[in-house]
Amino acid sequence: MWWWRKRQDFKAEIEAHLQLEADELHSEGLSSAEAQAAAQRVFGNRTSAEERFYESSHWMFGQHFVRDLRFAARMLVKDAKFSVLGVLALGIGIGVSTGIFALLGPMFQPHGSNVRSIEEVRNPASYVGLDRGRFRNFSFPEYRYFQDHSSALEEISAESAPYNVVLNAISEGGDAEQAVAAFESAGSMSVLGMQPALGRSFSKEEEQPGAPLVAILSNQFWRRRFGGDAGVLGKTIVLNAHVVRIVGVADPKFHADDASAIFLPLGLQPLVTGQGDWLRDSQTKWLMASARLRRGVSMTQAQAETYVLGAGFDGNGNPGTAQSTEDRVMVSPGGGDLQTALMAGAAKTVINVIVAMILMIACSNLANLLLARAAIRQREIGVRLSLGASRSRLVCQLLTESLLLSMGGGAVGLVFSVWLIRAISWLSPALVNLPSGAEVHLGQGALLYALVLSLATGFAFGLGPALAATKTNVARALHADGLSGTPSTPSHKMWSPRNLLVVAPLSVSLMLLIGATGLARALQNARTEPKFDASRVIGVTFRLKAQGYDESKSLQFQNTLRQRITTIPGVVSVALASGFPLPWLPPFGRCALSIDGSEISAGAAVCHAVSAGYFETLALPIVRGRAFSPSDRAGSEPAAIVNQELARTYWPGQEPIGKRIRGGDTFFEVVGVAANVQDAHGHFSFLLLPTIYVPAAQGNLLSRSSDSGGDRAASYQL
Amino acid sequence: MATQDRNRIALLQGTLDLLILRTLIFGQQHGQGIARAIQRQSEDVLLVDHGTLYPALQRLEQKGWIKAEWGTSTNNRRARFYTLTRSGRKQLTRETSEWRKLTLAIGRIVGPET
Repeated sequence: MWWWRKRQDFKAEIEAHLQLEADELHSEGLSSAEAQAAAQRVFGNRTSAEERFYESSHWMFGQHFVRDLRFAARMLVKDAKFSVLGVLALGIGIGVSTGIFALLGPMFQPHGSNVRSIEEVRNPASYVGLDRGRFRNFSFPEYRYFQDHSSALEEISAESAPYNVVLNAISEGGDAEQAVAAFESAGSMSVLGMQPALGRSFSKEEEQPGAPLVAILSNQFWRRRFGGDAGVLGKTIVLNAHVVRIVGVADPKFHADDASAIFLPLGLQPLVTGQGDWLRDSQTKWLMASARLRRGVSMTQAQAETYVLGAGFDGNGNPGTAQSTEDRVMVSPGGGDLQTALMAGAAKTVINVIVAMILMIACSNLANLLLARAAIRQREIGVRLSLGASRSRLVCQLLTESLLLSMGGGAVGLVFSVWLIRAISWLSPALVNLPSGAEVHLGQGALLYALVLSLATGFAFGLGPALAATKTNVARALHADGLSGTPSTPSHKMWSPRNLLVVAPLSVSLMLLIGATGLARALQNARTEPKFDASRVIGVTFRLKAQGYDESKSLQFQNTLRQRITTIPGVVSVALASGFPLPWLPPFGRCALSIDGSEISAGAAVCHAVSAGYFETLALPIVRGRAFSPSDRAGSEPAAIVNQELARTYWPGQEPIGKRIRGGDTFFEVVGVAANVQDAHGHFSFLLLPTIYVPAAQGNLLSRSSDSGGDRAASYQL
Repeated sequence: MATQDRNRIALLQGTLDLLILRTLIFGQQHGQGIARAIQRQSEDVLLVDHGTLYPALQRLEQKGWIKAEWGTSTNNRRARFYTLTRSGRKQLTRETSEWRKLTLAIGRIVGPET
């Protein structure tokens, strides 16, 4: 093919031509030396012919590119101030973009407790989540009611939130350990289209009270603790002092993204948790429900049916009264966590847009610099145009310069992004939300992102100035005007690109500023840091009831424990409480209350029985009234401290001190208001619940769920 | 030679292609042969700049109107011989008729020789 024709070949042809011509001239009577000279003369400029041949070959592009690159590098080095400024400006833009891009992944990784990724569901089309009320949860009778009455939904299944259990040593000589368990209905796995990897799933009978003591191991736990041994079926483990038989191993994808180790049938809840029988309790909403749409049933139909069914259930199986909107049962496609996923997706988009804006500011700065430079170089460009350089060649050259600049910016940006990631992970680890020890790395994706970003910005923001610069009036550029460095045609138009380049970054900056202010306000309202000083607090959990301690033995243990811990050097204070201050596991530690005649169901409030010194130990400020004193003992007037959230919700604008709250049959008088304790887990859907604290000594007065002799968390401060 | 040069006309732009194609209709020829043939047939009136001939040949080759291969000339020299292709023939017909129209039109304007 012609384009493979070598230069040598062309040279040889010209050589042959000269020979032939000389031969002919010789035969016409010239001497051979004269003939040679004449042939050369007639041919004319040999080099020019060769050049023209050379230029017609396809290799020009590459050749030009290399030359342009060299030239661009020279020009950039020559104007070091400009180059450094441009590279830095772009570096910051690209660095921020790339850093945030790399962070976005782990930031939105759902590794919470009850976050189920949609990918987990094999056939997402018909899978729906059921949410009821503010806490999206169902009571057991409610779940059974829907299961019995729904015709639009099938395979309705339910599971509890993760629940910590104590596991006796699995292997001989090992230690007891704490493990995460969850109560599951019979269809929990099959509704997701999953099968047990070994053995069986739970039966319907095992959902009933008095279920046999059986368990299914999570696939991860099975591999980790039993080495993937198929002989595990039929073996027993001791869980909260109950001997439980293993009947199955779950699908590898079942609860793959959380720490759940053991699954128990719903029917074992009363026995295992020791916090009351929630199977017969329609007030305790402890189950998350999901289902499949029956074939041919649309989402709307299913929603309509659950509205009706939800209204028909008031907890006792009787037709319900008017149903508040908040209490409606919502059917959401892909499971309830779709909402969380959508929220995270929206947040991601917002962040991306913000980052794009920052990049745009950096880019417009670069474009401005390039434009200014082009104006200065007007004369150079004019000279080259008049010497015959084509406009496309010049544009190519200027573009090469801006690309080189943007690649430099990209390289600097990568360094910046690494720093940015370190800074952010160091400043607010909760935001990055990484398991400890793990680090964010710039992966291949981020590198590619930076590369594409650099190329795109270099191209997009170099092209305009390059085109503008080469639109030079040669005569004027070479004239005295051109010397002054002013543009040959000063633009007075309002919407000229030059003005836009000033206006756009300014407006974008303004937008960002306003957005940032709004965000800061929003963050102030939803601070994710705990409001108590957790840095020097150590928490220890004892599951005494689960270990078989009775009431008197528990009290004795607690007293001894307290005394012993106090004697440890460095311990400042010790407190005992029925639960930890961060109540993010629904609904354990919750109780039903009654305030001014309005009932708060068990899922909607948290109750903690706390010992003296609890608030001091956690440095949780009492913002109003008083803390508990030794005089709040059994027999004295029942006292309670509520959190700000409860006061705000139930007594807006009123003085909470002196109000009365009924828990069980006892009226507690509010003596103080404690600051809200907020979730430090960085979860998107954390809940700030109304909380009531009662003195441990009076804790028995709360008839439900706060079992004074039961589980105690001790916190001590170093 | 000096007297000859005075009578010669530099080629009009764009006509070289036509002349090359026309020359090749008689069979394959090398570059020098083409230049000589044009000169001879125009009775030494048209001067072909040898320097521009080869880029022109190159261009025609790229367009696929002629093809080339190395061969041996009548006096035993290695030379690159050009042959007209099928599309080159078509192009020749087209350019010839265009040229005829052009000269006719210009002739009418310029008028007969006085």
